[in-house]
Amino acid sequence: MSPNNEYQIPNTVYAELSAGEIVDIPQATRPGLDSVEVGIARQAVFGSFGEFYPTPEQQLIRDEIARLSDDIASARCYELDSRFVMRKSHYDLAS
Amino acid sequence: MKQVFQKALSLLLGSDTNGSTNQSNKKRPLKGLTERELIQLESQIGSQLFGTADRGVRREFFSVDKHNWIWHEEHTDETGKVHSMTTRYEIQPKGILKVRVGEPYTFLEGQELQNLLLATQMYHERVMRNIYNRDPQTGKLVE
Repeated sequence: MSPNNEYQIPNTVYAELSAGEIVDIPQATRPGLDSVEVGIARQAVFGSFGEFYPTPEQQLIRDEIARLSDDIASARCYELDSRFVMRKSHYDLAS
Repeated sequence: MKQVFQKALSLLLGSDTNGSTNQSNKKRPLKGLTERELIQLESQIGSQLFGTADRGVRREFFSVDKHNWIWHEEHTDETGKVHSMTTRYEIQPKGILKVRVGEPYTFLEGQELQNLLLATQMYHERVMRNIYNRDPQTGKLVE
């Protein structure tokens, strides 16, 4: 435990954990960790998500970043997809 | 989560499995670029958003997909050892989750959240205009 009583998750375990995803960590593949420690690690990760309640301003910023990300991903996809369409057109013309 | 970091790593290291070649085309200069190459182009812009990096420092900032952003920085010390740090920002329904291997996950708040917003806005503006030839406001192609 850290001085502020917050469990520090070992790197090897941390890399396996993902937000909202329940994962199983075989005890045998994680030497030095017992089942209690794994349980605490999970609680530390998943528990921290449940405690966060964004303010309206934080939610607005999150939504704006999501919108911008979506915009960029769409533009990128367009470049990749249009190439596919062009290839398909070429194929259709050739046939 | 590991897949996103692996994808980010392959983008940073330059491995490519798509097999497409880089071809030039006057009308569509991006035609023929793989997704990785498009992201690398974006990252060239992203790396300049925070000012010029010090000599010996390599910095990358890019959007991996619509849910993830990567900030990567590395430098070489006097002994030649490379130090690197990769931060992933994951867009979740409740907020922006900051993920660094070996550190507790945290949702961004305060100035750090404001800074990320500013960085993504600048990235969006420049990438849409300079790479995808689109109006950042409308998203429409600019002739």
